[in-house]
Amino acid sequence: MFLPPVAVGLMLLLAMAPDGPMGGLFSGFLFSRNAAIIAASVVSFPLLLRHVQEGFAAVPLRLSQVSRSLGQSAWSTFWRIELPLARTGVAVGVLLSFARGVSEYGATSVIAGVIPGETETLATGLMRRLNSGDDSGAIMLAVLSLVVGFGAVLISELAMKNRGGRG
Amino acid sequence: MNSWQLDVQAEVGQFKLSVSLNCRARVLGLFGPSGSGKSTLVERFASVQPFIGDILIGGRSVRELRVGWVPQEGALFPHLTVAENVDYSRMLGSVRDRAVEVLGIEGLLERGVAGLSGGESQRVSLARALASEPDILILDEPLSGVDLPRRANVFRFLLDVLNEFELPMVYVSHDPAEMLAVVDHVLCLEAGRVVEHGSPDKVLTIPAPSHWLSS
Repeated sequence: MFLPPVAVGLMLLLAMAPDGPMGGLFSGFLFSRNAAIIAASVVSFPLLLRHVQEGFAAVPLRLSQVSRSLGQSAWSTFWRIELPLARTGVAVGVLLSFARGVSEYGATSVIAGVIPGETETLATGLMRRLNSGDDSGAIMLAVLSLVVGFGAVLISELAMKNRGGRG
Repeated sequence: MNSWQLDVQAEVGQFKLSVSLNCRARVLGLFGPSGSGKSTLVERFASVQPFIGDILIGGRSVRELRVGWVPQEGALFPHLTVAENVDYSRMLGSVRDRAVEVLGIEGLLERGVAGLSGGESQRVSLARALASEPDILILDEPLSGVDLPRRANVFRFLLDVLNEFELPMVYVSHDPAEMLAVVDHVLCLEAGRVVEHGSPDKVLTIPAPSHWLSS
């Protein structure tokens, strides 16, 4: 699923505005750290969902059926069989969505702004430094962004290759 | 000997299962070629898939019975040790140690399941099913995942279980020799329907259609 982050930010801004449908709950969050967290979560959620779904889809149905036949409840089967076997997919989803979230720019800048030390992500911090002429700071954040991005992808690939039958 | 009353109607995609049968047996055999509906019927015995009708064993519905199910290939939980697999049941009973002893898996208990052979996996799966103190045991092609040279050894353990545990059993196979050695009453399935049933020495000595034996 592809969602243009700036468009997502605008939708969130309209929804969270004081007179918006979620304004009663969330208007106080706008342009705060919570807004940055909401923006990063919403934008990275499809990535998390995809990997978690793949992780659970890889758990053989037969194992869940055997667990139920041995008297375990659906809840117990989830915690003892399905979640442990899907854990690699869940962990990869969390890791990649985290990497996506800390690099978020579009939606974050719309609903959280760029408040140093408060709502900055790697991407918005990089842009602020670039605009203010802090080239060395911008380069440092660019390198950090690349390390986080490549690191997350590398760890995910290794985890998926090594999961074998263990989820 | 137990009375078995089967009235099972189920649909899985295009496949329709329709089985009606009354018989007396301790070990009921399900025999037929691949795709005949054996595993579909077994899943209804194990009550893990919905169906219309009921299966009564000794007058009790399988929906109320504790079922010890040994699926094809064992279906062990790969992230647990052998001991954790055996002890997984919520109804773990005193029979657990006897099952471990009869099946000769004492030396495997601390191991992970990844390195087990096909025969060892089946014995562990069987111990797990027995440890739950089931009212009925279901063995779905228990030798299918076992290397040919080791089948006789695993089969000996199966016969030990048969002798040691006085349980009604469902035994699924497409091997007439296994059926003749184990079951009291055999139900022959083809395309989801019963085409023959009776004592195995009568039913299985009639030459089976050639496509059954090649599948």
